[in-house]
Amino acid sequence: MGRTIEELILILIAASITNNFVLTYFLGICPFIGVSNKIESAVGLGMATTFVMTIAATVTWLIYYYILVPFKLVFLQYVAFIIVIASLVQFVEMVIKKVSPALYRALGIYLPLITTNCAILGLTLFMVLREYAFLESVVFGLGAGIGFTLALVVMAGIREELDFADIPEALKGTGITLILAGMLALAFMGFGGIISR
Amino acid sequence: MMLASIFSMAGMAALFASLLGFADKKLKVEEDPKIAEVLGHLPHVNCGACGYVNCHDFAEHIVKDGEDPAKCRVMGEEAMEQLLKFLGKEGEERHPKIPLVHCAAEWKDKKPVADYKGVRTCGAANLAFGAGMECEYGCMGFGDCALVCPFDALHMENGLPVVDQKKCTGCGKCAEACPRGIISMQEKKNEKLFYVACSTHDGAVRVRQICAVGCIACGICEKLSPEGFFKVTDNLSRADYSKQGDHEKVRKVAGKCPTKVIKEI
Repeated sequence: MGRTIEELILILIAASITNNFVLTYFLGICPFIGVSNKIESAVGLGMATTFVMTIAATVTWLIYYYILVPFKLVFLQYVAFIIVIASLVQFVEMVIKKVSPALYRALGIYLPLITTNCAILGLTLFMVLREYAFLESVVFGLGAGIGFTLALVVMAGIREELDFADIPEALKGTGITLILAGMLALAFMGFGGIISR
Repeated sequence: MMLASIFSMAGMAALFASLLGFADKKLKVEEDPKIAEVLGHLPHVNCGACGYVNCHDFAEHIVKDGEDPAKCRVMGEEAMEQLLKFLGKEGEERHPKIPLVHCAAEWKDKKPVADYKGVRTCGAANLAFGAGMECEYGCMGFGDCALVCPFDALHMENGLPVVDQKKCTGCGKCAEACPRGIISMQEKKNEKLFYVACSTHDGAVRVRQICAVGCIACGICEKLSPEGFFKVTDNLSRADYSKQGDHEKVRKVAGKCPTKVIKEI
């Protein structure tokens, strides 16, 4: 038992920090650039994505191992996973619209775009590829979500400070953001030695 | 296997659809039914030309903040009339804003003091001491305003922007683009709109020297105009549009201007 908990913690840390989806695999760059101008909306989108990632990992694991594998329908995994992700995003959209209309407006088009966030599909496919067990994939999804939120919030924090900086005209906006993303990725590489997984 | 794939996919889809349907019922947000109604009239293309995120956002602002539905550029006349009818705004006169160009100097009137070889935009030229033009208030004629016009309603002719009133939507982008603030946006309430086509704050002597069509702040329009329509401040005459009366009278005043700088649209 002790060994499994250790494994789970390793997976959590690996997914969120050392193999951060955004900064190491370069998945989900679109919302990373698009929603990282304010910490508040970054946290909002991060939470929404974490929720979708965790539940998506759980549900797709069940579907993969209890429907697709027994019926030999593994070739349908992309379709099946996308259905799960799309429905989850729709659900999250409803919840956010109900709970916080302000956040709903702030996220705008990026909320429905979680559906096409490749980080989430990537997560479910990694899960299959690495043959995670049920609990492992849940933790993997949670870790990936936390990692995504972390990257987004760190970036938003930097960009908020950036408003006061004297940036060369040509780099204003997306240009400096991409450069920053590169630096952030370099910084995250420093975690690489902690665990190799 | 084919059957299995069909059934498993259909089953999953049905399951998620029913879950979402259930969630929709539970989480339905009570919304002003007027918004849905207004949205029904809008074109649903979500083009963003009105300045809002999508048609729904625009509809919300129409209902809550009384935003002008005319900002939608896509709607046809008929649909617009129906929407205005629904909002109870039919028959109400709509006054679109039009840009007024406060400079009348064509190429022949622009006196050069230097030869400008820089980037051929107003923004750049204005930084470089104004394109070598003597007048530091007038139009430099590179046409930044014509460039930003999204509706092809503004063209440079003889070194001055000319507005095509039929195409102009009154978005005001040209006024923002002009580095010298020569263009102002004005509601066209009256049949005729009179304006002083000059922006100079120089004194009469200097204006006489450098421009044949400048306002010399002689004050004739202020003295003659009914109800103080024109007023000279800081060496420049400006019209106060809250006071425009009979346009025949104003036209007479405009005719008295010694440099003929009061124009009408």
